[in-house]
Amino acid sequence: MGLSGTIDSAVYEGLKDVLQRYPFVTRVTYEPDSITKKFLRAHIDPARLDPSIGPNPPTLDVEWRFTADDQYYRIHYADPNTGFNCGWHRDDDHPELGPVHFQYENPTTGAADHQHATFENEIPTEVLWTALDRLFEEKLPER
Amino acid sequence: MSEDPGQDIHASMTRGERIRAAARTLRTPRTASWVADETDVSVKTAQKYLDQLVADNVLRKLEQGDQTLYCVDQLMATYREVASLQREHTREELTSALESMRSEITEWKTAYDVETPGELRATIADLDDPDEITARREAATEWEHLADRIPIVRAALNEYDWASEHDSVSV
Repeated sequence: MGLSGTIDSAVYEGLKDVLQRYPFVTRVTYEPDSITKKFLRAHIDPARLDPSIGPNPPTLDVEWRFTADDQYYRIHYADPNTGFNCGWHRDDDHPELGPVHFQYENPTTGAADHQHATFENEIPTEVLWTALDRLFEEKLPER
Repeated sequence: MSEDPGQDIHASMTRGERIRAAARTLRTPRTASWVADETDVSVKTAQKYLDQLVADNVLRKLEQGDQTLYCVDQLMATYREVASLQREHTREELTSALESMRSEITEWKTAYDVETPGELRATIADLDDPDEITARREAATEWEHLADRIPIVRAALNEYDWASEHDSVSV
């Protein structure tokens, strides 16, 4: 994780609220701990995923940072059973793809790619919702 | 459990809850109609919930020309943060977290021979090694975050006993 900008713990409270209400999420923790609060981690129930991937709970890390005019974020899913991981990043890593990109990596098939992505909304809670819907409805069933 | 749980998420939050979650992220002052547009509700509904959040000290209302803007009440948010640290952690946990944050900063100061994260960033300009540039950039970002957290943890520790006394429930 190497996003620039400031973390706002009030914003994390709003994002935590969204994660806690998502049906696949069993619990949400602050990482590395609830005092330092660098990012949020949602723990996913593997039994609720279709197709099922294995016994270990996947994680979804959510980090948000702000500069005066911009927001940077990473919403990243990782499956410890298969090594598959993917996520939406708004950072400076791939300017050729625009401000936001989607990236994925599948160690089983060797597939990996970075793609241009956009979100209609600016409010972090709505961006996160849209990302969660896309992840569980489109990206995971296709993996 | 429905067949398509993803579809339910927007329905599982009421309009009020959805606006409430979004409102906590209003770092830049915004109008009710901007919030309404972003959260897909009517302006009247957005306004109703935003005004409620103003009454609850979550948001502040600002008048700018003929516009009414809403943004997070940062002072109240900080007080709430201090209170939750006091309620969720022991004095020892807060003290040891504070010590480890401070010692991390001391390590960066020594390792890079700088006094501030800004000075550390300035050293990047003279470097060619991409790994070293990344390492310094990440250290500077992390340093800035810890520098933001330290005063909040310190504030929680300063009035820890006083807060615990006022937090006790008589049964």
